Amino acid sequence: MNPDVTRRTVLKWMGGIAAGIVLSPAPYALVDDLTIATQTRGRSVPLPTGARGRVRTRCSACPRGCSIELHTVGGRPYLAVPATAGACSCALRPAVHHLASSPGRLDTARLHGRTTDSHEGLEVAASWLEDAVGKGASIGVIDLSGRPAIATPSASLVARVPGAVRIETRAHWLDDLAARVGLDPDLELSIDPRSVDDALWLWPGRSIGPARAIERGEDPRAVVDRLRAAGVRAVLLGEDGVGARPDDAVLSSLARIDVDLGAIGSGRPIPVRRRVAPPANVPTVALGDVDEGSFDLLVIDASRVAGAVPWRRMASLLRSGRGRSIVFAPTPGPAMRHGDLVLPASAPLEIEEGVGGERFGDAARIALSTPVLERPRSCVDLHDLTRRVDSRTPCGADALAAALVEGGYGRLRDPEDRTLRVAGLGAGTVATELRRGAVWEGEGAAAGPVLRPAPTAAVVDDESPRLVLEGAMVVAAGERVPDVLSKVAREQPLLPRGGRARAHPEDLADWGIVEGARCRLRTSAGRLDVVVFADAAVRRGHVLAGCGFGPESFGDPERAPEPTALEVLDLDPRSEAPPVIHALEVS
Amino acid sequence: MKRLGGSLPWVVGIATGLALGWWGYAALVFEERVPAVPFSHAVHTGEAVGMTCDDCHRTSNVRAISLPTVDDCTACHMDFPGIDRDLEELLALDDPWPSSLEQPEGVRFSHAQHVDLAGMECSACHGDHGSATSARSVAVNRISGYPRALWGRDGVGPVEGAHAMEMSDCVDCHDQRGVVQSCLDCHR
Repeated sequence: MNPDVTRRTVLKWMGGIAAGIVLSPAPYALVDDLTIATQTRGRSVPLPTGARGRVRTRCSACPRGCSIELHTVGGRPYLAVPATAGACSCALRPAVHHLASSPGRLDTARLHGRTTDSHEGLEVAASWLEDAVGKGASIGVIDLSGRPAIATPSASLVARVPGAVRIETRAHWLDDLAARVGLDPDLELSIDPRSVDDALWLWPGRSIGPARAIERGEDPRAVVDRLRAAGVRAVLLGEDGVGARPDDAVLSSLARIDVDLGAIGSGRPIPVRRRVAPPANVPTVALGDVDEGSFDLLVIDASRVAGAVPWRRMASLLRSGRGRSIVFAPTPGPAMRHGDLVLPASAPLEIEEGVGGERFGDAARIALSTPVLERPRSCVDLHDLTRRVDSRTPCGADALAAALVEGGYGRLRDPEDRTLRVAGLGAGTVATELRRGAVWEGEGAAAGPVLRPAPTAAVVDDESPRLVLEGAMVVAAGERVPDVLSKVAREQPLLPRGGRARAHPEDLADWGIVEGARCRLRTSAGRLDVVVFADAAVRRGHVLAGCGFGPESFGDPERAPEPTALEVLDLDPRSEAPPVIHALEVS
Repeated sequence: MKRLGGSLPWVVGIATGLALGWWGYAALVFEERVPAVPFSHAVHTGEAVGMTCDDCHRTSNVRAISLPTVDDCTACHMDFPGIDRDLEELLALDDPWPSSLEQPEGVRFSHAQHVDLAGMECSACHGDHGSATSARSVAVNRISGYPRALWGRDGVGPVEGAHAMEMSDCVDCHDQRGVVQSCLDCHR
């Protein structure tokens, strides 16, 4: 019996085949494969071509300046790998280096929704604060920076504002962890893993999970036991970059506490070598206890938050607030449109009440910030704001050096040439505000920046003056372009060939540098060959230069690729990574 | 003659289409890449030699892939028994052992983070790979260029679970260990 195969039968069969294929994973897998192929191989996106290479430079996300390794294709960076042996010890989060290149990163101050510059923003913020203080208004300072113990500029700020209330949040795991395992949250904790055998060693980068587990209600002791079973041996509670990696300098510069597991949570006293006191005159309430709308002025410091921010709660507070609000943040949050003033975050250095105490005195003038998050017209740091609120007497270089040495942050390498090594400070990506007029006046006048002829071999352009700028604090960052690290970066603007730096014209005149000169800037973080341009928007004493992993020359042979302008010269022979920089020279 | 009607052509067609979609596409799109240098893990990790994973695979390397090169083999080997190729030729090989777990460039993975910090055993992800007697050939997608094992059980065709390393494996393990992660921790 032969079946009568008709056209209709064939059509049915073919239709069935089509339906079967549609029902199978093949079409979706094909679409998926094609999508990947077009992203990685296609011609719709100009992909980097050329030799693969690696460049070791520094992360510019925080003043720590951790080593990172840039993977390049044709000289173009497409990947940034923390060179901490993959240890992910970044206190801000393992992926914080993305923050610097996040297209959503806030780099421009906004006032009432319009773009403004940081100078105006700071003035407005300072005037609001002063106005509120003068009228006796209620001020709430919400600190999202984490623990109150270390390096919280808002703590310094709020300590100077009478009547202000510091509002703690539970956004940061350190608070919860310290509180729930019975540690004093006002301690700055650090354990030298080499000297403590039976202790809990909790790296910031990996401790988020356990802390969240505690946050979810797990028994802290169970979490501790689990960590211990996993081989975790010591606690390192540090943030702000300084605690990101425990090298000798960091460990010696941080307060330490000997912690043994028996002591944690047992109620027994924990030996403390150094206690960091929070501002004593500031009442503190929890975020959840805040009466919405009870404050005339809210100051929210989220400048160091790279993780979750309770923006919903923030938005609720901001919407219901009676008055104005000032927000410091690295990236725009959903609440920000409600804020009156949003300032790009910076990461001021830990020159802090309690740590160095008032002994630092006027040294608070040297506000280190993270220049990657700042631009000449959007540079903000809280120390600057605190100074505007409560101006202090300018200090000289001697007072600065003495204060840093006294505070344990530095040692005077050579009193004669007045070179100071400052431990715990940032690296080449750190901007230092040393106002020449303040710092170099009086006896320090002779110790200004030294300009010397550069070695011939180091000069790129014979027609330009050969100058080496040594000693003065040099900013080696800035000019961040969004989406730098995106492999499929289509919208990256090109930077001109060669590194460029900008400085205040009066500084250039003082240093004897003409605009367009090719100079070599040198810090302990590395070396930078740049062409210098005058820019009145740059603050005095600053040099702003592109560094890191800026996009260059993609597809344009006339524009030489320059993935990083900051050349790290001294590599650790063992790890082949740039050494952790904990000193900047001040001469 | 009886006409072949009804739903039988539909059923046969759908079955054919499903077969084509499930197996035909996979057969077309994946190509097998055979290791240029045969290698037995079992020989090297056995009692006679007693090597450990870290002797060849640098877990402290920040790279996701920590495959050794032939040059690494010369630290112990003066010659390679059973391989009829000159040493220079072997040294010139860019990819002597194709990786079945090579992650896309947009994925950040650190062996050091998992081995050195978390204290995980290699076998936790790689199974009993150390006792394998031969280097595996790797199925690579002709279109995307990704190894087949990346997609694991969720992809086209089943892949032996021990060697799969798909996102769900990472997430499951992180959940079990209480590691809370965000997208950018792994995805660049």
